[in-house]
Amino acid sequence: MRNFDYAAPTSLAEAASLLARAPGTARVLAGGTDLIVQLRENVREADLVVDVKRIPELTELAYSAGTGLHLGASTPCYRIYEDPAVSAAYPALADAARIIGGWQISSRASVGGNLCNSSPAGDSLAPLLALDARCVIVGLDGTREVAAADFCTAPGRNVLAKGELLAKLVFPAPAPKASSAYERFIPRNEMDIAVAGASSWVQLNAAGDTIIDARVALSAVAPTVRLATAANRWLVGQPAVEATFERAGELARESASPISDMRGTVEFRRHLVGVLVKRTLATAVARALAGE
Amino acid sequence: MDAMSSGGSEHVGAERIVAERIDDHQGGDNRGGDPGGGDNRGGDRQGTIERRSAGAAMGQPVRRWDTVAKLRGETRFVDDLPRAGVLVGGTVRSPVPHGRLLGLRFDPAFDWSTVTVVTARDIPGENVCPIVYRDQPVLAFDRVRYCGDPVALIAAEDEETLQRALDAVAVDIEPLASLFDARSAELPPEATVVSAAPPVYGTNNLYRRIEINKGNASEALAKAAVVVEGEYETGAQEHLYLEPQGMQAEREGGGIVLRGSMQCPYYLVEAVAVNLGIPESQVRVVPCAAGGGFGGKEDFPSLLAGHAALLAWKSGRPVRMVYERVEDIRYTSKRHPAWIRHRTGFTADGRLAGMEVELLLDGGAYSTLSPLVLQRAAVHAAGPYACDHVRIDARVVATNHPPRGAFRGFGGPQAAFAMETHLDRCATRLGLDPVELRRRNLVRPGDTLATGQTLGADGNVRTVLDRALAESRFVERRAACAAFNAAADTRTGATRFHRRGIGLSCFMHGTGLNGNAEGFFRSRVFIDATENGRFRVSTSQIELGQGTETIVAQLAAEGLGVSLDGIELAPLDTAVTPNSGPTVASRTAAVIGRLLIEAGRRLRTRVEQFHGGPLADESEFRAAAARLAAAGATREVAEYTPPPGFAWDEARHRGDAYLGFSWGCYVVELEVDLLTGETRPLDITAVQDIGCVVNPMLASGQVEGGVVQALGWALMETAVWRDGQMVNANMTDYVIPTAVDVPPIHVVFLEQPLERLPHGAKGLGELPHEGPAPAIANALRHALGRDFNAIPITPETILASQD
Ligand SMILES: Cc1cc2nc3c(=O)[nH]c(=O)nc-3n(C[C@H](O)[C@H](O)[C@H](O)COP(=O)(O)OP(=O)(O)OC[C@H]3O[C@@H](n4cnc5c(N)ncnc54)[C@H](O)[C@@H]3O)c2cc1C
Repeated sequence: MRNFDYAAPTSLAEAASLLARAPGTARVLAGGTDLIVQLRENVREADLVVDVKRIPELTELAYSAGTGLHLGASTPCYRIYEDPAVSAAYPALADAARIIGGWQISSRASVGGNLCNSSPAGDSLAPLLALDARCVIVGLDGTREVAAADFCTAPGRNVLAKGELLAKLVFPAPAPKASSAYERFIPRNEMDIAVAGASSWVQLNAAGDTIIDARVALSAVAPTVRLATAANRWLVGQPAVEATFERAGELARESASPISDMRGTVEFRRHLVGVLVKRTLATAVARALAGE
Repeated sequence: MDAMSSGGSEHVGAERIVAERIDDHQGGDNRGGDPGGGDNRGGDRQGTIERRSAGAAMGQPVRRWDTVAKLRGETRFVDDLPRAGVLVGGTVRSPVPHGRLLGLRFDPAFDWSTVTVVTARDIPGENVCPIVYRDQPVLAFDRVRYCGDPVALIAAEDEETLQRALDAVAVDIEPLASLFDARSAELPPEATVVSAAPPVYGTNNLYRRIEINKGNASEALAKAAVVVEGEYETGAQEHLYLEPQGMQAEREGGGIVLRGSMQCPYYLVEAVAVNLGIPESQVRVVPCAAGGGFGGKEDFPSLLAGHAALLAWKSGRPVRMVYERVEDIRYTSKRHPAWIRHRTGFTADGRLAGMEVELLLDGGAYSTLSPLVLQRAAVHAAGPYACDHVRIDARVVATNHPPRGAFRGFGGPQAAFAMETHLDRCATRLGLDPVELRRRNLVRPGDTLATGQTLGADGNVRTVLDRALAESRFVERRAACAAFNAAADTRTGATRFHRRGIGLSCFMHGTGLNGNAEGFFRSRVFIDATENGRFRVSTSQIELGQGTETIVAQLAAEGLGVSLDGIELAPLDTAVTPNSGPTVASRTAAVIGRLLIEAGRRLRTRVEQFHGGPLADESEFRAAAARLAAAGATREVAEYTPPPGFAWDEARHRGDAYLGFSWGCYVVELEVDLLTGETRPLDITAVQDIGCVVNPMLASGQVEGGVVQALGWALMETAVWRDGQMVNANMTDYVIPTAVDVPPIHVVFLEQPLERLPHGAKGLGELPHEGPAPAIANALRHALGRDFNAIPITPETILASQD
């Protein structure tokens, strides 16, 4: 590991200015559960590390049923799943926050860090897409917003330009008769990188028997996390029954373009997409009916 | 007084369930004879277990003596030694799996005067790492045989300089064709084809072949009513001890001292003396605390010690070499992958008529311990079954993979996987219940194993099977699994795709080193009385986290007839410590235990003679011992000699392959998800006969740990090789079980004492690695109705087996 400079600004403006003006490579440090590992193993290099956890906006977690959730980019995962209101309003996000690492990791790791690391296997990414989150990005020139679905551009790459940082994630207020879920497949029961993952958000009609809107997103089966567009379109108006979930799973498999590697083959990953989409849809519907 | 012989007969057949009975017992840290701040009280003696002798330390769940220091962070591992003035050493390695080494180029832009470089030319002694054969050079000089084969060593003032220096060396190699498939490795006797590359080893790539013949297997198979064949395969496995390999070497007087992480300090004495060309008396080895070994620190530390010693010798400075995790996983040994073929003949009523086993191990680029791993695999290949006609043909061959080496079980788990998976298939063919098939064929006292070894009174394996069936409620659970599967379609949701199965395995593990090896080592232990009324015990056994220090103390206390607070352990330093042999082969409790009991009893007799009569009261006895110590030297030495009647013919592989055998029967119940291929063990029952439970808490720990390690080997641990290099050489990609993957493990010990040893103990450490994999494969077969003849059985293999 190379030596680097360290700064811990207390405002967004200061952070943006440090990041913009740094000679060489500047990197944002949130929980450090990706970054420190990568620096130590010389996978990434840094001349300046900017610790953003002292910026108050970055660790906020503000939720109200009317305005939705404003999640500071560096807020550690445990604050999400330990918050009953947030967990109830955004179960897919809580599902992901709960399984990112063990509790040592989840008390440091942030959703913002997970997103900015931009691995297609990052567990919170599919929920961000399914929940239609927006990313608030701050730079020297001010603030811009992009949809979570447009944030990652390739494995390890995203839309952030030099001098920009992710300030927060904004989630729409929960809709009535709607809920969500996230599930991943790993070959053991905890602490592993997803072989495949799926997150589903559904909204039901008042009677609770028909899907009126849906967003299914897939992880670890394409260069970036992506929406299962064909399945999402088809789901609207379908009855909320197992056959629907199954068919959506089949459609979602077509949206996957996985690779074979030591965690799994193309065929296995595609197969898992079908299983996980079906399961998360079933869970999301059950939760919506239970009034979660 | 002879507490043991009466104690021994009292506990014949005694059974103990200890898994549920782990209380917070007091321990102590008496290592180094300085009780200091550590409490040195012995185990809680509330009589949960019958007393064995006056002190009754043995059989008690005494807390590990090393735990307090470890919990407090006071334990010193090699990388905790002071850094001042110590150079850091690193290794220049072959980038290819096979090739002729043409030379090394040192980039002139780097200032080589700032570092110490050692190549094969700088080795003052022999360029060989002596393990069993002498084929492995300490540094490759003419040929490289695996990706990572060391070709040069560098020592620098700091890590950064070291890294720059390592990067500034180019290794010139003319690549040769590589050999990765063990099944086609062995060359015919007169190879007429001029092969593209010279053999990796010798003239034909064969490290060793062992044939074991009992009766006439081919004739018996020809006449058998039913013959069942099968082929089985097991994969490589990484040890993943917590602490990576590490060694520090420093010149001292005219010689050298080595400190580091190891299982066998005296192996290092020999290796370093050979490398430096100095007498063994000039090599001192002082082991540091070791963070786990599992066999991985049996042979490899000899090579690393040679490296560190060569750098220290040339530089005149202390040199430390500690591997990073990736380097450790990539370049140190793994469990031998195995291919095993069974042909088994039965009589019409399901009795074994004849057995033929062909066994092949991939030994990798150098032989290391392969010849001995092969021996254990061969002896265990026919399992704990009575059969008059057995032929075992076992070979270990060279490939261009990194050398394979010792790993808990030492060839036994591979053999047991094949035997026990095969037997369930045989049962189906015979139309017999797998339990019944085993019951009809398991050995009994007086029966002989494949090598002709006759079993004593402790050879009753049916007792182990029966107990496992009872403890696991096998028959009832099996019916429940079948009912669960039959009702699948009546369920909704995820459980509709769940299936359950239950399986078992019967297995054995030979105690101590094979055949004449224990006699060859002539292990010795010392016990001295001290003037403060305690007894100081010296062995070269290593604490690896398995509780060796604690049981050594318990066994010495047993021999002396004192409580544990009368015992202290001498620090380990080969300059003064007797060679009690390596800490391997599940030998400490049995073999070293015997020596400790003998030395302890003799010392007691001497103290009593000095006193002029028996001393029943412990404080009086210890006071007398203190007076004896004050009067002069009191050292009692016990040295191993083979027990009367022990006979092993190494050339023909006949006779007593081991002192005796531990027996196990494990039951695994599991659930498998048809949609994802995930296997979830639900419950494991582990029943074993280990002759004598020295410390039930530590014994349970060994079983639990072994079960988990074997569970990983069976279900998930996959070493992925590309061009001879392990590509998932890190803890992110090489997946092992975590705590949440482990089901409840119900541990039961039976004690059928080995008559050859005073306390009857048989080996434990490796045994638990043998049972889980075949029990899992058999349970999956029960759940899904398909054979699983190869491990690891990953989700993907389960899904693939469905279509
Ligand atoms: C043992 C272990 C287990 C793990 N298990 C999982 C798992 O199960 N699932 C999973 O998805 N991940 C897992 N991870 C990876 C990691 O914990 C997650 O990706 C985590 O969410 C990263 O968050 P962080 O706050 O630690 O990010 P950091 O490491 O601080 O940052 C990650 C990257 O994002 C950048 N970054 C961070 N914040 C910002 C910002 N506000 N603006 C711009 N760039 C930013 C950093 O520069 C860096 O490149 C695991 C890691 C470890 C060590």
